[in-house]
Amino acid sequence: MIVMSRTGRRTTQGRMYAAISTSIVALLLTTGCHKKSKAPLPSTAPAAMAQAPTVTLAADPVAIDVGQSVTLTWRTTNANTVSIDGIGSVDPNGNQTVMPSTSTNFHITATGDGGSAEANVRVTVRVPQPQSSGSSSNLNDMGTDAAFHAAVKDVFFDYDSYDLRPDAQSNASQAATYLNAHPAIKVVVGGYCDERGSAEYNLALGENRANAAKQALVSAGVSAGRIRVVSYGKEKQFCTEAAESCYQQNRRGQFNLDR
Amino acid sequence: MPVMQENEVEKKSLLREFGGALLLHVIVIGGIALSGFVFHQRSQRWGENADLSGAVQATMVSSIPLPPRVRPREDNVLASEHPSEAPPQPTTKAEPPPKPTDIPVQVRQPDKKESKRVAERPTPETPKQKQPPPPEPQKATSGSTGGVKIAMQAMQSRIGTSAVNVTDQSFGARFGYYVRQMNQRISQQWFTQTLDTSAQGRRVYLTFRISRDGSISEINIVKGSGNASLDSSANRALQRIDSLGPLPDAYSGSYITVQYYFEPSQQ
Amino acid sequence: MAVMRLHQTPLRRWPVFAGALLLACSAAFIPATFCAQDTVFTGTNKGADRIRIAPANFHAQSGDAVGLKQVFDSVLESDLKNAGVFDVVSKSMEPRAEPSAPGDINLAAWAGGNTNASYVAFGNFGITGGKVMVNAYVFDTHNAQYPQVIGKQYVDAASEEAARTIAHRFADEIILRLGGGIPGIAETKIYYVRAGGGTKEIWTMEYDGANPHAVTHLGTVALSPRVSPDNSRIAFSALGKDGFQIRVFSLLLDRMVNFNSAGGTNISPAWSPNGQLAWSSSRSGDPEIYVADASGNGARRVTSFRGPDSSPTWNPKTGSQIAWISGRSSLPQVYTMEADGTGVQRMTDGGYATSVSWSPNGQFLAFAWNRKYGPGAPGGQDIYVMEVATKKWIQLTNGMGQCDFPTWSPDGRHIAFAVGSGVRGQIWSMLADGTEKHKLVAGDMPNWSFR
Repeated sequence: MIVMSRTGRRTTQGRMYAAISTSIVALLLTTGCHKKSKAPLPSTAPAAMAQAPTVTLAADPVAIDVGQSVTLTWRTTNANTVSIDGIGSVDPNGNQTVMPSTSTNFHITATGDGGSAEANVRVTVRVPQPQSSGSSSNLNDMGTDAAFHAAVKDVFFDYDSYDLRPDAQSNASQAATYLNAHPAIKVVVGGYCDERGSAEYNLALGENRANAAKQALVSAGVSAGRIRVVSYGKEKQFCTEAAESCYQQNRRGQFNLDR
Repeated sequence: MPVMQENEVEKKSLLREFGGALLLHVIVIGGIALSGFVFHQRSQRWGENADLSGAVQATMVSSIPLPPRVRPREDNVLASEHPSEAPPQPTTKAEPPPKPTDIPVQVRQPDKKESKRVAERPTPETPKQKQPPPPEPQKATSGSTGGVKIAMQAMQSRIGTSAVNVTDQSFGARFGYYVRQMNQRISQQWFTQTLDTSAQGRRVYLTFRISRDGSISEINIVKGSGNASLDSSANRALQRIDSLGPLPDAYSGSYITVQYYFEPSQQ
Repeated sequence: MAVMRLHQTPLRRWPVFAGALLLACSAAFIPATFCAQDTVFTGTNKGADRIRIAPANFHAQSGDAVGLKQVFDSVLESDLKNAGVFDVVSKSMEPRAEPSAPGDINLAAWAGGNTNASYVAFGNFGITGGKVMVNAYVFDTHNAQYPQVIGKQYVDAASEEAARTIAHRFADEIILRLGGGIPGIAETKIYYVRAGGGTKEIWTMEYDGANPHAVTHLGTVALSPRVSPDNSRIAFSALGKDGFQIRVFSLLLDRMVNFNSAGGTNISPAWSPNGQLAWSSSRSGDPEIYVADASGNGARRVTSFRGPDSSPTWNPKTGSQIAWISGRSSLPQVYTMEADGTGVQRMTDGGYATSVSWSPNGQFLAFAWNRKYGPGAPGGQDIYVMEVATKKWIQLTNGMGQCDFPTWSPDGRHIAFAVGSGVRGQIWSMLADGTEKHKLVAGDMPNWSFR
């Protein structure tokens, strides 16, 4: 009798167990599905947290005469593909001998799981002087393009700004020193903008950039009459990729000899 | 005793399992509630993004001279089909040939080479129309419509009801299209957003004159609505319009006088 | 005349409103919840409905006229569709008839059934003695006694260009008579910049993108074409030895004419309705807005703010206000002022706003705006329209790419604009409420003629 009733109770409880566990299993399945959908996330997480690649590029020497060669040396980390503009795909680490005929910006791009990195190095090529200035002093010396560019560096600007940054200020004062030492030189300042924004407005902004560079020279003692200003806006680009490093190359006040 | 023990063991395990079940339920329900909360949060952020994009904001584009992109319902934009009396025959012989220069332009310096190339003139007189009688309009006739013979072309749009009457009785019958497009143009220029709510259902009556070139002058409110915002919006709607289009070439008069009323609908 | 009683119950109105709302939501790619929370007006969704017009196929008077007649038919249909004021009956819904003359037409057939047209355009197209002769009519289907709205005869040389011109003329006549007295734009032109081979030249085309061809052959970078109000000259800026300078090309003389720039960089010319020019000149060292006559003489400076000032546009209605772009507070913004430089007002509240264009009725500014501009910011540059009086604005493009250089059609119903720039640039056209966008040609910096 007791046994009977007990078994009777057990059966009922058994049913209840069955019902409860079924519902739990069902609920677990539903939530389990949910968990599964999230499951792949951890496996992708390491990739997303992959180290960003780094790259360095060096040239030795950085200035040559025409016909001489330069060794480019580069080191990368965390990169899958590495390429140098004008050379193509290269090993992650290596060196290459090049013989540029004109001053060249070498640009390296390293791409890995963690993104991409870029670096630049400029090789200046000294072109033989067409006519020797002989014994004449600096006073009438227009100098060479190579000498000019070795001493007078372009100035770069922040995004949508035409104020000279500290590095641009120091470039401008170096340029002014050179120009004050070579009073025969006339200079044309080109104003450039990156490809973003509107073409018309960028012409005005480029004008402001070139004028800011001009003003820095004038306040350092260079006669305003020796400086001409041309804005190119975004009509002439030094670099045409949609990347900040490239944009920075294009936000520029460029100094050239005005012959 | 052994039975009892067994029973107790069973009870304990039952309690444990029941507790386990309870815990799982709590976890599951909590999980659902949490996920709901999380998704809610995320949707909030989406909403914020949408807000940043600020795609739709303003109300003012009604004065861009575009009609709305809704298919017109011919049964809604009806005009007079029962002229109250026979209008006089038009004086067709007085009709001057229109030239391209008849259309007013902002700066008069026609490009000779272009404008003279195509010879334009009205077509020769065409034989009198022999049209089958138009079908009777399929509209509900309630008592009020049949008897009232006001010579006004009423038009209802989403902003309200307006009606036009040209005092030269024959004009409306002869140039129904002109009256219709005039009514439509004025409705487009009426900014009902600026009206206060008490203007609904009120009616403002005005008169104005349209010159040969379509320009509007002598705007008068003949019977105010009693609502200042409605009365001033009527004036402004007309002042916004440079030209209602040149009067039909076949019309011999130099201007027409228009009676107009407007009644904003319940919004 | 009887008053027609119009029954439009709220129930019938509701689906239309709901449809418009849905359209607004989907067009803007924003969640429905956002729409529900905010009061959304769909701009022109008020006032009267579109006019339903049926362009019938014209009747060719002879076999040799069929080819040109088909050109005429399709141009007329497309002009009416482009006008933005008509609900054009599709040809498949029209009666099969090709009414040739007023005696032939059975108005009831056009007024009823699927056609359901308020107006019918029809007529005949013949070639005699090397000339095209078109008799064209528009009839009001609801006015049996006096149905004729327009009756015109056009005669021109028998060429495809002439068939197009006649269709444009007739379409403009219809738009003027039925569209609320605003002249049509079928004969207007768009001037633009076309890049290729390292240079940019000024090109022109018809308003619908037909017949694109070069105007200048300078072999340099020419930008910002602006056609004069009388269609006689184009002012633009071109790169020379001294940087960008204003140049003027005479369309009547087919050559460059003199413009006196007086130093500095000179860019972004703009014609006033009475033929003056405003432009940005840096003759003082900082780009400022100047105003002078069409030859650049009598120049006077109207702005004096540190920073870039460029892209002026006149209020075409009054000719006495100028809107322009100024970077005096860092990022460029839209400003307005009187043409003498007084009454300066800032219009945009942030972001990066450029390339402003003033609507023909003087009430609106269209411009390119990137509301979330910044390094790394994902914001796109889109076309916006702002009401001058209230500074309320609406966004007209979304997700199409970098949109720039909006320009109003003379009827104020259309806006052409550039998508992308340089050799990848395209010129698009849309109605001024942002609907019916379509690509016209490859190009940049469009400028719609004044008429």
